[in-house]
Amino acid sequence: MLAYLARRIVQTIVTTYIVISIIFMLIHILPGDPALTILGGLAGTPTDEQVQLVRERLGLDQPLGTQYVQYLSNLVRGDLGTSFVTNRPVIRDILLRVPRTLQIVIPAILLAALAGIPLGVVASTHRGKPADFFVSTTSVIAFSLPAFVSGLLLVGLFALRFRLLPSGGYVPPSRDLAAFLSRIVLPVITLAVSPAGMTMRMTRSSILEQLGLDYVTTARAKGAADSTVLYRHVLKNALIPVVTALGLQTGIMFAGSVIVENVFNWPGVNSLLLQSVHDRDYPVIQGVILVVSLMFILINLITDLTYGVIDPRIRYD
Amino acid sequence: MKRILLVALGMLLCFGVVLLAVPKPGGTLRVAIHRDIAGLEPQITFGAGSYIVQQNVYENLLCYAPPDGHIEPQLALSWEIVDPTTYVFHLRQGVVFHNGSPFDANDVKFSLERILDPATGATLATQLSDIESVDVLDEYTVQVNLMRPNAVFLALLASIGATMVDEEWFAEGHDPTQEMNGTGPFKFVEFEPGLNTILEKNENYWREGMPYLDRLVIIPFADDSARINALLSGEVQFIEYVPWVDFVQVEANPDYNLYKGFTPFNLVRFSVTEPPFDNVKVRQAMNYMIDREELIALAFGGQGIPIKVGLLYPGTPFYSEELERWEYNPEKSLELLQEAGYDSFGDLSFVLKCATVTVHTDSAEAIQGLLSRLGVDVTLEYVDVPTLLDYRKNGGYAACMDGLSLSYFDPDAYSYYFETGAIGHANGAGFSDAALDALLAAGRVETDFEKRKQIYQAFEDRLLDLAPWFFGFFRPQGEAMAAFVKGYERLPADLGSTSTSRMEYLWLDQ
Repeated sequence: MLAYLARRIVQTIVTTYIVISIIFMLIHILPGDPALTILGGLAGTPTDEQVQLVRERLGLDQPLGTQYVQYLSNLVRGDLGTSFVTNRPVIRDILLRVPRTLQIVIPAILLAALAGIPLGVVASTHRGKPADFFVSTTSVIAFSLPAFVSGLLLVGLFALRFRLLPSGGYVPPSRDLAAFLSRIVLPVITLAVSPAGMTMRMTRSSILEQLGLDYVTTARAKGAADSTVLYRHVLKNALIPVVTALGLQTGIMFAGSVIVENVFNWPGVNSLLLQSVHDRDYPVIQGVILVVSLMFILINLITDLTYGVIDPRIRYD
Repeated sequence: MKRILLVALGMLLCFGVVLLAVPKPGGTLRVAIHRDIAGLEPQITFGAGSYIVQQNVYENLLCYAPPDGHIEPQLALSWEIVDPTTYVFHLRQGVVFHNGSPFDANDVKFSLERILDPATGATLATQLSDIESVDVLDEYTVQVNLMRPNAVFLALLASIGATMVDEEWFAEGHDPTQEMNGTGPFKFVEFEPGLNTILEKNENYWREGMPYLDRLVIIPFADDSARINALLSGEVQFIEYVPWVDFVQVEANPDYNLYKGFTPFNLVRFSVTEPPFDNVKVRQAMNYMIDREELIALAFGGQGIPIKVGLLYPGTPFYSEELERWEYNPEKSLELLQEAGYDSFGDLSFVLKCATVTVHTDSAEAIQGLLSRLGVDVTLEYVDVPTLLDYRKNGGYAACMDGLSLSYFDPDAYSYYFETGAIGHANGAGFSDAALDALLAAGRVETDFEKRKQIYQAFEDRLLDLAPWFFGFFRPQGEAMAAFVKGYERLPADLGSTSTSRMEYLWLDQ
């Protein structure tokens, strides 16, 4: 087990190094100069001299190779640099915003599991009947709805029409827990819709697959009731691929929550990334991608380990 | 008896009306802006959203005032133009910065010199470069010496970015990108990117009784729908950059007020060095080829004002009705094309680059549609904002969609785009005309209004002949707020988007 973990950690370091190097090259190839954003953006009137001075101040006038080495040596010392635009340390804003994305992603995946698994079980046990049809249709719709459509629908209904919930924004839970909770509801539901649909379908098909296997026939032959067969034997096996898929979904959701963050004005780490790409704020782009890749890899590692817990046949060596 | 009662009733009514009109102090105003503030730096301008922060924490020597945008004293109480190159300003006394440090002539000298220093990156650096020196005559009197007469000087001092900062504060080593220290009605409390900016009432503000509001909480809402929803759900009480699609909805709703204007203009830049627009006849033809009314209807739901002349807003003092010429005239357009060597509309084809900003893309798509109806082949190529910024300065397009507003309220603002080497356009597009340069230089130093107007008329006449752009239309822009937010007045024409620099006048009627 330890050897397995050690291998995974080495893999992580190599992967991360490749990712940040590619990103570094890519963003410097992109047209557009961060100096122009700093000097006023769309409303700016920068002179060549001003641009040159800003570029010098930011170290952008140096050869790309020098900048790359400088970046790596800072990184190894744990220094993610300062934002070109706001002049704040990159790590500070990332540490502020990663928890906020997690605050919507983790409840969303839990909600997707809580909604999807039971409904998938119902669909599989009532196969061919109206309940199955209803669940299957719902899951397809849920799975296909883009996040901004479901998000805007929910806002239109609950925030504008019925005025039950705020339309968006963020309040730190330490400042006002009630306000925080009221604002978290809609983004979490929006994020959960698609994975819930996927979970319903996967659970249903996975259970049906298990129900056709020999050990189920054996259990029934030994006199076990249907519910015992289902809940004591089949479910655990059926959930293996579902858990794996949910784990992958968590990673994808964490990296891709940008639309929900936009619609609900939730200041998470992905809206930070979007804004920084828009501004060509290189240190922030690099910092966020580094952190998001690490989190993605970590989530996948946890998923793989969970897989081993559920299925005793899996060995790590 | 009846008469006494009537008189008493009349007096009571008057008293009541007076009470109603008296601003009530107190309250927190939550404001939604469409782009998060990019920085706290006082002398670099970032666009309308940041004016709410920068221009309410910091102040200028002069400012623009409603209803007509005349120039008023702000930190300078009065001034004299001793001779065309010498200005003396008498400063307001007893004004203090937020850290308690008093405002005096040394601060004015420091501030102006800081703007001129290229290391600052100040937006008005080029425009104010006629300043030769600044002398402190006494504690509250400053003399500014110009290299040559400049008719725009006072307008520039009233413009966004000509802010006064505290010399001692800078000497103490404070970082203006992380902290703010101004003389304005609101003090900076905190800023978190993507979350909010919080400003608090300046208890020692020099305007008696103002500001009325206790706090401003400014929240960025990048998504148009999210922003308007925030207003309609009560999450915020004031939004800027109202999407035009929501104008009708807001205007029809008695719980909200919309303040709109047509400040920015949409245009298409042409490269004068690359075909097909290297031929002036083709550029002129483009200005007759596109039906501006229909373009406005398609891109902005009919909310907009076609440009008939140039960039000066109709009704402003320098606008010339005699020069009105642009209209939809496909026959004339075809004639011009034929003079340029094309047989028909179908022979013309070009790539139109466009930034992925809604107010540009809608227009670009409409233009493509309208032109393809005539047979012109237009290919749209989308780029992002930083790429557009690059194009503005350095070129790299045959045709490029853009939307701008004049950087200051004076016809000399043309020089930023069309003077030889101008960084706003001429440099990147390869545009240069000696006659235009001469007129711009003459207009800058001429102080007599009538003579200046003639100079700019000659300028516009020649500019339209050279047609470096497709001069499109003035597009709608507005702020919306809950009906109980009072005191907001929108400045006219090009000053419209700077109206949010006057938050000291706002109060909540509740």
